[in-house]
Amino acid sequence: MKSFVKAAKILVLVNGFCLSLAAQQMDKPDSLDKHCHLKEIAVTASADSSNALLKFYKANKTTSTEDILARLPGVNMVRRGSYGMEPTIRGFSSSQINLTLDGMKIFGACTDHMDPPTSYIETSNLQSIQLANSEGGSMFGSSIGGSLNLKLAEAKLSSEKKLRGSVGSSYYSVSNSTNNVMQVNYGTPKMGIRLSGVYRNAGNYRAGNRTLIPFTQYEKFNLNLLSKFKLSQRSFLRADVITDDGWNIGYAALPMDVAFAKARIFSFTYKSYLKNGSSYWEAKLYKNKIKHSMDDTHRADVNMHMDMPGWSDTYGAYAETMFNLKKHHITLRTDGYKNTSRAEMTMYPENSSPMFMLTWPDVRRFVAGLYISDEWRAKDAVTLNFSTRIDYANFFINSESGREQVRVFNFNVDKPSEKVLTNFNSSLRFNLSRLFYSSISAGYSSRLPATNEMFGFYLFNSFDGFDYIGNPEAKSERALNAEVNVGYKSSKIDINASGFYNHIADYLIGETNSSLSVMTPGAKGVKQWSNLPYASLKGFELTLNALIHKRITLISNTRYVYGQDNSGKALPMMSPLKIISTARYSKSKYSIQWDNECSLAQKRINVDMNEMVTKGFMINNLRTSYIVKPGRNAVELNAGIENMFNRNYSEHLDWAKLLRPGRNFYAAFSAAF
Amino acid sequence: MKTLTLYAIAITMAMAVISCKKNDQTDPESKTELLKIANGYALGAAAKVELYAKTDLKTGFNEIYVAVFDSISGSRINSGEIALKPIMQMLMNGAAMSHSAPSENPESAQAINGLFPAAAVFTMPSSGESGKWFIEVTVKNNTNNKQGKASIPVSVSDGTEPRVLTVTSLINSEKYIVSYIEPITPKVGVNDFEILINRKTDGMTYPPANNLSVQITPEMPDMGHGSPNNINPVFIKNGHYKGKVNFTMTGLWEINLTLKDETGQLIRNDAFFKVTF
Repeated sequence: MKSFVKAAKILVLVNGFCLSLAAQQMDKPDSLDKHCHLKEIAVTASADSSNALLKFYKANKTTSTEDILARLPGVNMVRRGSYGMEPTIRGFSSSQINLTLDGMKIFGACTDHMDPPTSYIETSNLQSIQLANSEGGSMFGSSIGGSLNLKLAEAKLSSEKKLRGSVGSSYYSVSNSTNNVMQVNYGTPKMGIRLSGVYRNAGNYRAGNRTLIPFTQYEKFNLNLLSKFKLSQRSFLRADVITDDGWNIGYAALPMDVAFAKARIFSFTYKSYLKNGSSYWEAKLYKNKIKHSMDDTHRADVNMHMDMPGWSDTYGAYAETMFNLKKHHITLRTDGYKNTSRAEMTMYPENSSPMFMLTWPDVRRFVAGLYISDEWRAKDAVTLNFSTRIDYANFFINSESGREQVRVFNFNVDKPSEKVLTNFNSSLRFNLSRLFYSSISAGYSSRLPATNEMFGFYLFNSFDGFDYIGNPEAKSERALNAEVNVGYKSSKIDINASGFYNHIADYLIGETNSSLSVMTPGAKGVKQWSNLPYASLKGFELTLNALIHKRITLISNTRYVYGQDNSGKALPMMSPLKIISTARYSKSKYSIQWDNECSLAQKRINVDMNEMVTKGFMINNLRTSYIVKPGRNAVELNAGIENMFNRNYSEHLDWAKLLRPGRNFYAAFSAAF
Repeated sequence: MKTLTLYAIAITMAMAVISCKKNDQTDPESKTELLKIANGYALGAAAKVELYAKTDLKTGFNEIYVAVFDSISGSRINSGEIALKPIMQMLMNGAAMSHSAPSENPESAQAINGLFPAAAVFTMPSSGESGKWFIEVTVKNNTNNKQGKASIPVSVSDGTEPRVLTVTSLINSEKYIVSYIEPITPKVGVNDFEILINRKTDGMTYPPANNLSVQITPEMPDMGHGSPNNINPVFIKNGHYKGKVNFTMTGLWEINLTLKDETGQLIRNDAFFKVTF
């Protein structure tokens, strides 16, 4: 199964890697999770020959989820501060991809995308990241740009030592930040409880030109309580609670910061493995509540104070099963969720009445869908995959005051609006020889317009300086996706090249509406979300993973995307060609690693979006690690220099050309027990 | 003597009870909750006149409901010609002066649910002895053809925002009285907007100004922005103009008015109503 797509399985150490070995023995069926036919970056506990890859993705145990995501082939992060970066895949924005946490839908509560769901999950809590571009891309929901599922760690049962855990801490000089992580697992043969916490405290960082970048500070505390109960030999019940609290978060590229961002995520999961061990069925009930509040009280140039809180509550459930039927591997999934999103803005002019409006007017969204996939091993060298998803969606504005507000634009929102989405994908993989393989895939996909795109009310976008208004009549984007892969895989070298092309009909973009007057003082005008006839996204990725000497590993990935609209204009927020490479030398307890990140300039810009040319850059990092004490009670030290040559740079997806951190010295330690 | 005192007390108490009752009473036959404002007698018509309104009288446009009773039998008069005229009596430097204000007489000689709906525009608040409002109600009882007039003192206070504007024409210095009718309870969203415009021919005569063209431009002075898709008020009848005003948020709004005459000549474009909610 996993051989079907290039299963970029990269093993990454997480805290407490020691306890999993024991747990895996008796908890065998769990490892089947990884056999999901998605392109998967597995963050597992075992240390093996892929250890270099792990180091590539994780500088140390306190590395953030965003740092890891940024290194995945095809993923680029939109950055507005040093917190809450938003993932994009192959030029598809966060609204065009499907983002789930352990299969759960979760929507940020910020109208300005300051709280992507990925910001609520820490790596200490992450088992794997499932990134799917084409096949499998609609397993967790309809999307045109693929899906990203963050698979959460589980509490471990244990037949040996009951109590295990780890602690880790790191210091970053550039932002005077500390990151602390701890994790404890208590396991018996019948049940396991896992408590983990991460506390981060970062100050403002200095850019490469030594200037202090104000409003890049943040503080956060993430606490998780996971539990797992063995109901029978093959069935388990999990009850998980994740809490994440961020506060005093600077967003240097935006006119406002964040006072707090709170996430409360609850889930119950039942999982039962069938006799042959490779089949299972799973059901989950979940609920998550996000509260977010923007803050302008620390900004000097505020002529009118504003409060901008937002709420997003999601309830959902899914049931899925995977099983084999002769040469077919079948996946069935049915899921549904209900989300309500509300965001307010209150402005306080001096000596006058407060002004209040709903920037998200109590939007209720109900979506239910069915996914079916068949992976058919037609011949030894040929595998075919068909998958399809159908979703029913229902939108309604829950409050009369919300509906009244939308009527100002002459939209009729008295009744719920409905949409039906369909997704198909088929692919063919064949092994050309024992080492060479190739695959092609083609599909049709569609996605729902996001809350902003349908119901946003005078949302100021500081990127282009326009107020944005939603369009309740926005059509669903639909895409034709095609991808070609060729690869070579031997015991020492793994090379893959993929090329993709996406034709997107009804591409959603803000179009200037000159008949509307701006709401935000200083805004350049008003844009309303509308559908372009079409747009296209094409590009390629190259990945290389080579053992060039018994002690030296080389890993590199190259990504490129080219986007244009129907008139040939460049689409905004397209990352230029970027190459990330790592070479690592390791000898028993020591390792030394060199990272190189190289990006070309982006000169294809979208002037309507106020995009500016971004210069190319190259930065280098040096990382070292020393295992003081190996084994189960490992103690490890890490130290390194990031942006060694103190380059002054920003990436194309960084808002307002916000400078990235300059030279950073870091040191970290971790210990397991 | 003792019995007389008892009588006196009884009568006083009875009167107190009756008057109390009457003051708090809402008209039994009206369907909406109305407040009794004042009452008086139209002597020649042998009629008792009671005035009702939805709230206490405020400067600006007020709907006034007139109930008329036969002053002898006490029975309600449902058919009659009722005319209404607000009069302000002022003392200016010791000299008594008076003027009127725009008003609207009941459209029909038949009462609706026992009441004759009318309206009056008060252009200023009452101010003690130096400025008193009266409502002159002329009653012609259709059953006996008797006619008389009641002059009923009323008290008018200022609302939170001015609801009546005096606009002096740039064309001929003629004065227009522009009264705000709707929205009474403004909300974020689409609101019905209605105004009444009267022409002041002299201090006592205010005929409705028909056939003007009216444009509205709502604006938030604290933000400097407006709102989209407003519908300019158009002439309905008797000086009434109706349109739609859109508010995109709560707070202080100014509804700017541009008035033009029937030939398209600008009368004035600097008058505005303030709306805060």
